[in-house]
Amino acid sequence: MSLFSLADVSFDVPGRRLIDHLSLEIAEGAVTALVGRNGSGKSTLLKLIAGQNRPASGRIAHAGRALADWPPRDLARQIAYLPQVTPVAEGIRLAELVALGRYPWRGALGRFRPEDHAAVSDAMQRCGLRPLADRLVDTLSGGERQRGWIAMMLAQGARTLLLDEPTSALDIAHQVEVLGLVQTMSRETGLSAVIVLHDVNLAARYCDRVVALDGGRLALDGPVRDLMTPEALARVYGLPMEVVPRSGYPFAVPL
Amino acid sequence: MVTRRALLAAMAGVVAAGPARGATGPRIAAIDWAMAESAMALGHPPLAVAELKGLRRVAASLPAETTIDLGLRGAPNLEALSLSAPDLILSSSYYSFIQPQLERIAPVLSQALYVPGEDPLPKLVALLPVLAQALGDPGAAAPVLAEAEASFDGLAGRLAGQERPFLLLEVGDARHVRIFGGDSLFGGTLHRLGRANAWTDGTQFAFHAPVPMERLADFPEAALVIAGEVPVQARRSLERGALWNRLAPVVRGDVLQLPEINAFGGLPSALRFARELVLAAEGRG
Amino acid sequence: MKPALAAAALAVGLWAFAALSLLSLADWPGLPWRAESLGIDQILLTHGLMPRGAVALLAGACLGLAGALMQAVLRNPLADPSTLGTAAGAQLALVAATIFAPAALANGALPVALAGALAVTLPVLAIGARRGFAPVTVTIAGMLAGMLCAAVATALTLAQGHYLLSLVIWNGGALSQQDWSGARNLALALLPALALAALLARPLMVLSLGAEAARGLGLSLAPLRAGAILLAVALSALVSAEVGLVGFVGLAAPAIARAMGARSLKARLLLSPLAGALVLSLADGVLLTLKALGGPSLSTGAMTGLIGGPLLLWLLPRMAAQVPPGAEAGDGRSYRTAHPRRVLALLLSGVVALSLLTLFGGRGPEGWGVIPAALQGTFLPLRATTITAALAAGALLAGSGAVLQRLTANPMAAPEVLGVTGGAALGYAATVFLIPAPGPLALALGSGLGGALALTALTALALRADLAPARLLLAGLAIGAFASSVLAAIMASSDPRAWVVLGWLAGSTAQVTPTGAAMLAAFALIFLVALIAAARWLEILPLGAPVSRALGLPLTPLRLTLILSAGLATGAASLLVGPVSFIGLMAPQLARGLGLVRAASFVTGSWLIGALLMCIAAFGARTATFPYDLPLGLVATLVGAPWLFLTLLRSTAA
Repeated sequence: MSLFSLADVSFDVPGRRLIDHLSLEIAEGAVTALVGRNGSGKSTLLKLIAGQNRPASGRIAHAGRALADWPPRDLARQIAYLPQVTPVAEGIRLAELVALGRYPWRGALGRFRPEDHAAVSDAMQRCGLRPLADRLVDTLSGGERQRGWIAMMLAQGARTLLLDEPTSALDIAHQVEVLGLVQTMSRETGLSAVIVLHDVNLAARYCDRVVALDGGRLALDGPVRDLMTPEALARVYGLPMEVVPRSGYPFAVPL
Repeated sequence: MVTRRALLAAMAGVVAAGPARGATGPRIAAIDWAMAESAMALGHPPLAVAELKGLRRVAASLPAETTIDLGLRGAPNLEALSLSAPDLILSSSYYSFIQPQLERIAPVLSQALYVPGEDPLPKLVALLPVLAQALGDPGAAAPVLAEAEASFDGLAGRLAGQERPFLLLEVGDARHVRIFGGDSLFGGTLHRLGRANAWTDGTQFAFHAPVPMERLADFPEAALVIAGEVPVQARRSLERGALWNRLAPVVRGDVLQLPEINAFGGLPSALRFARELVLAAEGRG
Repeated sequence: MKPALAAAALAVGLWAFAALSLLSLADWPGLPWRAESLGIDQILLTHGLMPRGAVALLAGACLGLAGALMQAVLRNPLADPSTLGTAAGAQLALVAATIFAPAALANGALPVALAGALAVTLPVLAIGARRGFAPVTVTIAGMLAGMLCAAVATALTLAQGHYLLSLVIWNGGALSQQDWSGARNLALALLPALALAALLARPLMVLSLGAEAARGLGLSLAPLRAGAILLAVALSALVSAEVGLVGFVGLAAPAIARAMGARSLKARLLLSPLAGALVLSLADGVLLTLKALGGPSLSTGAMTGLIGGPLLLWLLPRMAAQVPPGAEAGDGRSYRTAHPRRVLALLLSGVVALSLLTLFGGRGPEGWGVIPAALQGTFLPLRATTITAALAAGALLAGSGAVLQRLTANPMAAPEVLGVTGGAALGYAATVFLIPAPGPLALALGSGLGGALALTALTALALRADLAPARLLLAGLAIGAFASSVLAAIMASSDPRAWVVLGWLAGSTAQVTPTGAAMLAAFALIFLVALIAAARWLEILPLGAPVSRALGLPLTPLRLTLILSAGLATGAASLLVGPVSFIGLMAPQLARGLGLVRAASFVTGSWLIGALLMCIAAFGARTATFPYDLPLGLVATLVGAPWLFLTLLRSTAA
């Protein structure tokens, strides 16, 4: 069964169609890159499969069940979503932020149980945030903060992570760190991830599959190596590029 | 620092004190000014009155020096009221929204004196026997009423020479006035004096909302009666104003100036208005 | 353009109808008009209707220009003399001068009005400057300042004990004239103002690119902003001095100019005075015609006020793109206490101690002191009622404020801003006017219903815009503005029933019964329990809709529930304290200042601080001017306002 299946999905804002009759299957257990030019609809698509926006027409299903039929908290146990701009978490300590990820399991009133504490501590451990647990989130560096939000998603216990340009505000070292973390977890625990990315080379390096959009329509859907050809890149970005192998990975350079 | 004992004595002193005349009847506190004036006229001055400072400015007769101030009429100070330990509280339909609170302190006598579209003077007259009864002095009303009726009759006679209807107004600024209708104290008094009120339109109540000055042009035959001071900022513009100075009554010099009188007072204020009106009319004539 | 011409023709037609029903054209006098040689009807035309038409045009133009200048310099489509507090400041100064220093008005009201207008506008803009002139923040600060001025003016009017006629006129915005002096004063100011505005047009255009870009182009911002604001404030003060309170023309005119196709700033500056003149002439023409046909005479200011609220609502969806991103954010890094429980315990003991202190201590006719034992039986029930009611009202308002600030992630959110109190005021007024001699229960029901209706309208409106915080607040302000203009119209009617409403507007504990106080206290406790139960929601909500949704919060029902409960709590509390108190704004701010950051301690702390502030206010209200009780809401505001002002002035730079 595929992770997400979209059938004839469209989405509009006043005066413009952002997603245009899109049908698509997204595979489970893989890291999928969502790529495309600015305005191609990749962030919109991510919000649609995250249940943040409802499509104007068409059906979106997660694990075989229509997205609209999932109760909000059940869905949050399955899917964790990180918006492009993470909000200001004023006055909250890192450990408290990560603990908010347990809301889908405990609701507004339920007491924290040992497994909740374990999930929080495990998430911080995996993101290498243990030493920062008592720091206020708004005093952390950009990379630490981003890892903190990802730790919150991990604490959520969801099997699917949806990340909207998680690396856009980070330097190259932190970009590698964050994407490497997602890749490792997918390999080790079978986690699925869909990541909106601008950098094709990062996509090629850390993702298994790619979905490329152009004007709200599907431009490419396949293993990530399918993207790394001059023809595919030209189709997706409208720019002549060449692909050269670098230390075992294909590397795209504009001509 | 005042000792507790001394304070207790002082407070008890306040409670025991009060105007000397009230000693014979019940201790009364008044929220409404018309009620307060009526009680004073009956020889039973309230020992506590709301907005005493304001009442001193406009009242027909001055309340005693020892009278206790109860604060705003719309929001009387309940502590001061209970401290004055009244046997009876005089109120009116104006303050019905606070009546439950007053009733927790003492019995309340409340009357509807100013009702839209109705002449208040008969109500003020009818109030006196009711009030005298409540004060345990039923005989007090008759002589006061007789004297008032006699005064009205006398004053009416002195106005007999005056042919013109009166237009009763208050000046707001150089462009606006307020006009008193038949359901105001002044309108009712005018009626009792047998004189015509030039303003026969309805009023929202007691006095009309700000009326533009140009409406005065509709009453060339009337004599203007200005109740209360003309505000400073209006005085100069009135002196120079083209319209004001061309109004027929102004040209004729038919303008009477009265002092500030309690527009929502009792029978004593009605009498005072009548007296001041006659004095002004005679002074001009 | 066509509708504009049609409107102009209509305005002229309405005026002409009124003029011709006064005097047929044949009798119109020729120039020169000497009062001595004219008949009374001719004077009414040449010294009444004609200058009135001119004043409508000129005052409208002044307000239109003032609004356009303010909107240009603040880059804020919501700025105008009424939303920045300018008009209310001028108004308050005029009212205060009428009462305390009538001699100051002998030489014209302009200096007084100008001083008042500046005294309010400058602090509002000082707050705005610290926050990058973020439109919503500036508008909220301005409207709050305006509401505060109106509250003080109400208290002054009330303390006068009877209607001062001139006060009613200032508040009414009346255009009637009896000579040409008003028109002359306005014209003498408008012409140089137009010339100055033309000079300012190009620098303002550069400023419209944003402060940083403008600085980059070598524009010195401070003198430009100061000059344009000063000009706008002076124009607005002049109109206040000449005709009284005429609201929202300055807001409408630039919007109309834009709708007429004035795309460039220069065109807007030129067209806005025209549009303003048109709007005011039209409004006045309708009133004149109504009167000529024998209809009721209303004040022009009330008429324009009635248009203002709906207009603000109409403008809301059109301003989204113009808010600079991030400009409305909070204070940045905040202090967080290490011992929230200790702080809360301290606050609680403060509330208890203060309640006991004010229960036994106070001021009587004999001065300050403790209630003697002999009188305790009489006094304690009275005071306990007042104190309980005040504590509960403060806690309810503060709790609502805390919820709304969490819900909207905006530290300026408050129930006073949501228009709930305005709605409750309208409900109260409606009850007073529709039911003969209404009892306390009818009044409570009426105001509760009014608050609920305002809330329903607000929610319906805000839902369309996905409950975006800024929209929600502005919609609330619009409802509040509408309510206050209806109330102003009621006040101007000088109907004695307006007295009852005025008394309530001022807010007084004298009307509370022991049962009412007990019920209010029970409600406050239930509210606190509910707030603590909702703490986890309140923790997540400020992180924004995407995160809340991603964590599985039932976002829409949750927001609606929170808004509704905040509205009910506010409505219940404002029955006691009147529509103005700002406790709901101040208490949560104070709680943040004490380092209570996490949701549970934040709401509890706000709740306690609200109770504490209102307890102090209740004490001040009944002792400061004994035996004259001061309006509770007003004292509460004065207690917290200086602190709030300092908080708002604090730089946002993190």
